[in-house]
This record gives sequence, structure tokens and C-alpha cells, in this order.
Amino acid sequence: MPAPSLLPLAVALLLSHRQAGLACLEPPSPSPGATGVPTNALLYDFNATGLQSESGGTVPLLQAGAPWDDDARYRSPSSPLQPGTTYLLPFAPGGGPTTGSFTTGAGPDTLAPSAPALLGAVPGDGMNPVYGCISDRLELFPLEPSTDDQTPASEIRYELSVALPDGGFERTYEELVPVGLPDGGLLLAVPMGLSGLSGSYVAQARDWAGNLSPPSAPVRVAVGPTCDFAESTAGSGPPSLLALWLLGLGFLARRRRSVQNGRPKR
Amino acid sequence: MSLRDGLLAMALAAGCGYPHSVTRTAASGSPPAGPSPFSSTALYAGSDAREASTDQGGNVWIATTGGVKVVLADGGTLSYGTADGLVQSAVACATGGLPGTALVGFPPPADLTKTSPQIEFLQLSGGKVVGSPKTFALTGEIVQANHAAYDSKRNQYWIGTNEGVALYDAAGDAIEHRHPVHPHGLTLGVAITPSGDVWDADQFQLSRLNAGPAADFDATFDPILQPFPENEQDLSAAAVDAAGGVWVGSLVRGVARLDPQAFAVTTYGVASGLPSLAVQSLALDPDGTVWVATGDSGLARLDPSSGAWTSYRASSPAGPSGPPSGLPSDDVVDVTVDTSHSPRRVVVTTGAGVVAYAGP
Repeated sequence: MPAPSLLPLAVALLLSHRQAGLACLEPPSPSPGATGVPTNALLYDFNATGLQSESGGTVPLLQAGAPWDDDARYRSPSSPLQPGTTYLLPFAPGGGPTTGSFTTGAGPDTLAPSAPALLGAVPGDGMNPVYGCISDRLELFPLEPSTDDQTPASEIRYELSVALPDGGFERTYEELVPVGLPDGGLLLAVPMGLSGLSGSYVAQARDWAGNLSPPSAPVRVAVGPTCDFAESTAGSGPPSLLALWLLGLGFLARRRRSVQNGRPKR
Repeated sequence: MSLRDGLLAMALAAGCGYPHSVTRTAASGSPPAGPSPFSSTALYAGSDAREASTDQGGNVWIATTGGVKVVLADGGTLSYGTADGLVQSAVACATGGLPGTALVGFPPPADLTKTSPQIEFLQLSGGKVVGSPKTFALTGEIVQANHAAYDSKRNQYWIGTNEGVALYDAAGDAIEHRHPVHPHGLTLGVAITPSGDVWDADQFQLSRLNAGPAADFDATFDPILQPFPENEQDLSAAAVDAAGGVWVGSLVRGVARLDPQAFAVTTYGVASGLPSLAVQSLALDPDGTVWVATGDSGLARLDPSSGAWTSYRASSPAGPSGPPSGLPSDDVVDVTVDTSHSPRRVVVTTGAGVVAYAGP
């Protein structure tokens, strides 16, 4: 893993080899074509109401339970999937709806991944090209990844949360996929920055079944991205102090939505 | 101490409290009496409708992936497609204005390197639809029009685009865009307050352009809020109620109401009785009822005074003990309230057609 001061250069090298135009969308999970998926799989971003098995049967999908019940993209099968079975499902990878499949393994997965480690936090410079998004600043978190007994490293997803004073977490990003560096290191690249909000951030990993790892040690982000204010071709208004003030108050509100036991809660 | 810390300290010293965030819990709702409320009021039977809106003359304008359909106030129908001069076949949105007029918007063109009109102003004339395409050509940043809100006081349309909001005014001017502080994203929800301010609901925030009665395009944006806790809001719709509260829907997180005076946010999810978090559109009744279009669980209505939700599904009873709804599909892509009609109608666009409901 390169030292934090070298990360911008490393990312620049990385980006020089990436194609432009990546969508600001998290890829579906499990990835289309995945094999060995637990029979208690958590599905993300499929926007589907049912899975069709290769034998023709349909398994209805439901809104996933806590802690995934605050996002309609998380779905759970209404009954356990059959081992060693291929399921067809629609998914929307960003280029429009299509159909993919995954194949289950021998049974359910109840073991959580190991805790990841955040090795620092590095403000990016300028707009965020990693995800092809328009963003004022990119925030980078060097990562020591988690491992899991059934989910391949490439399929593990990461959550980034603010660590609250009472020990709870408030999730700010979900389904992050690490970005690989030329030297083999990994980064969590936050698609839209941290909205200029300082705080202590932790990462957690989840596996295919939605088992959530213990949190990483918190990393302090002292200065988040700066904000530029309203733009238009007709001229920009001056920075709105009220807007800045409310943005900060909104952050306080998040802190007040305290959580316990390490998972976000409404 | 940073500027933001200083502002926060000032706010706290002044006793300004944001936000009491409240998550409503479920209350039981009863569906309106009467059989199959949506079954006998079909306006359009196609599966390609994306949005419907009524002009002040009672004509229903329907945006489809195959052109524009018009259900006239007298019951007749018209079509307007590329053969008639429509810019492109796929139409993303339609918004009615003065009697016999509407604005339609288009998704991004297949070839983003070529400028294509993003909106087209339509008028009924001589028994047919006549179009006037408009292009936001100043910067080339605007490539699509997602949704528009009509300001009847000023005869203007505020349009949600891929870069904040743009304006189409009565003089036929297509005025470029404004957007709030980054991060923002696609604006799918636009709402106009009685005083002329414009709420912009996008992927990452809810913000207000203080345009005011003069529709000041250069006004500042504030406040900047995220009604739902996560950074990605994926806001899909916005509407302002009689008390000035702002209702927003999210494609993945349900419904929330912001009271901008008290800085209070109330969120509604599945635990509150909302049938699904996948909200594609919402609209307000004059009596305060909130109509919510979900992408997978039909239509829902909220009585804000009681907090009770009533659900209308395509194939299941319209509530715990109610009759079948007659809704064509549980994939509801848009809902709007037509007050040009008496009694008012709730116009519902689904993946299997457009229907209207005029009951209580």
C-alpha cells in the first residue's frame, strides 16, 4: 500500500488506464454469473420481484430486513434458495434492464467477514473521475480488505459510516467496491465525497449473505471537501451562509439519529 | 475554528434545533367505499406510458416511449409522433399548462455528441397537435428533461434536468440551468411554492432556488438538505403542501416530509405502512391526501392527519378488507392530481396503462 502522500499519484496512474464514463451506480450483488452463492443470499440492485429457477419455479423477493430495510434495492428471497441451483433474474447494471443468473452453493452462510482496516483518509483533488461522477471532491480511504469464508474478495461490499459519540454508526455510503491500485493496494473511493463534513469514519464489510463484519478502527477526517455553490450559465449567486449552516445542522441531525450495536437504525 | 464550525456554534447558541426527525409508525387505513375504483376509468391502454398530466382545459397529455398521446376533454384522442414533427419518439415527461398546451421533455439522445432539442412545447390547434422544439444550447450540458412543474401564476415551466433545473417561460425562451452545491445529480423532482421558489429534488439533496415572485433565475440555492440519512437520496419527486411542507419521494428510500419552518423531517417507510420504498412519483390532493406511486407495490395514499396508509394493488384487495382496485399494474410510474376536472381526478400512469380515479 503506498503512503498516503503518494496516493493521488497512484490514483492518477490508475485512472490513466481506466476508461471514462463509468456510471455512478453500484454494481449488482451477487454479480451476474456468480457461483457458490449462499442459499440465504442478500440481493442488491436487481429491482426484481422474483427469481426464476432453472426448473421454472419462481421465488418471490421481499424487501430485505434490518439493517438493509432502508433501501429498496436490497431484496431477500421469501424462502431459502435451493442448493446448487441456477437462478435467473433481471438486473440493471446501468445500461438498462437485462437478465443475468447466479448459481447457489451448498447452503447458507452465517459467518461474517473479517473486519477491514482503514489505513487513512486522503482528500482527492478536484472532480471525481473514478466513478465518472460530477463531484466537487473525491475522498479516498486506503483499505486493508476483509476476507470471508464463502464470498470471494471481489464480491465483498463495504459500508462507510460516521462513528457517533455514543458508539453507534450512521451509514453514509453503502455497497462500495474497492478500487485497485497499480501496486496491488486498494482504496475505497467515495463517489460523492463527504459533503464537507468532518468526523470519524469506519468501514464494515458485508458478504453475499449480508453478514456484516465488525467495524474497522475509526479514521478521523479532519477536513472534508470544499463546497462550491450554485452555478449556472447565467451567473452564480454568492455562497449562501444559510445553506452552509443548514448543511451542518443536517449533519447534527444525523448524529442525533443515534444507533447502537453497530448498525444504522432509523 | 472553521467557518462551518463557527456557524454551527452560532446556530446552537441561538437555540436553533434541527431537526427533529420522526419516523411514522403504521396506522390502519380503510379504502374508499365502492367497487374497483380504477377499473372503469382507463385513459390509455398502452404499456409504454411514462408520465401523464392534465392542462387547465382538462386535456390529458401522456408521454410514452412511442410519442405523445392526448385524451381530449371531450373524450376524443390525438397522437403526435415523429411523423408529425415530434423531436424523437421516446418522450420522458409531459406537463400540462394553459388550456390546450403542454410541455414535453426527452431522454438523452443516443448520440451525446450531437445536440438535440430537450423539450418541445405543444399546442392543440386545428384539431391536431402542433409542436415547437426548444434546445438548451448555451453550454451543451443539458441533455435531458426528466420532469417539469407548471407555475400557473407566471405561465412558466421549471424543468428537472441532468444538471439541476431549467426554465421555459411564456415568451418561449428556453433558459439554461441552475443547480445547487455539489454533489447533486439528476433532478427528477421539481415543485414550486406559491411564492415562486423552486424545490429541486435530486440524487443527493433537496434544495430550494429562491426564485421568488419574479422568477429570479440568478437567485441562490438554500436550504440544502438530505431528508434521508444516507448520502444517496435518489429523490424522485417533490410536492409542496398547503402548509409549505415539502413532500419528497425516493426511488429507494420511501417518502419524507420536510417542514422548512421548523426544520423537522418526518420519514415514511415500510414500517410506517408505505407498501414499498421504491417511490417513483407522488402528488398532493387539495384535501391534503398524499398519493404515492411505487414501482413494485401499486399506488398508496396517505391521510396526513391520521398517518394511515391505504394501498391499491393490481391483483390484490385495495386494503386489508377492501375491494380489488382495478389498477392495471403494480408498476406505477407516475401519479398526478387533475384539478381542472370536477370532481378532481387522480391520474395514475402504470406499466400497463393510464387510469383515473375521481372518488373520495
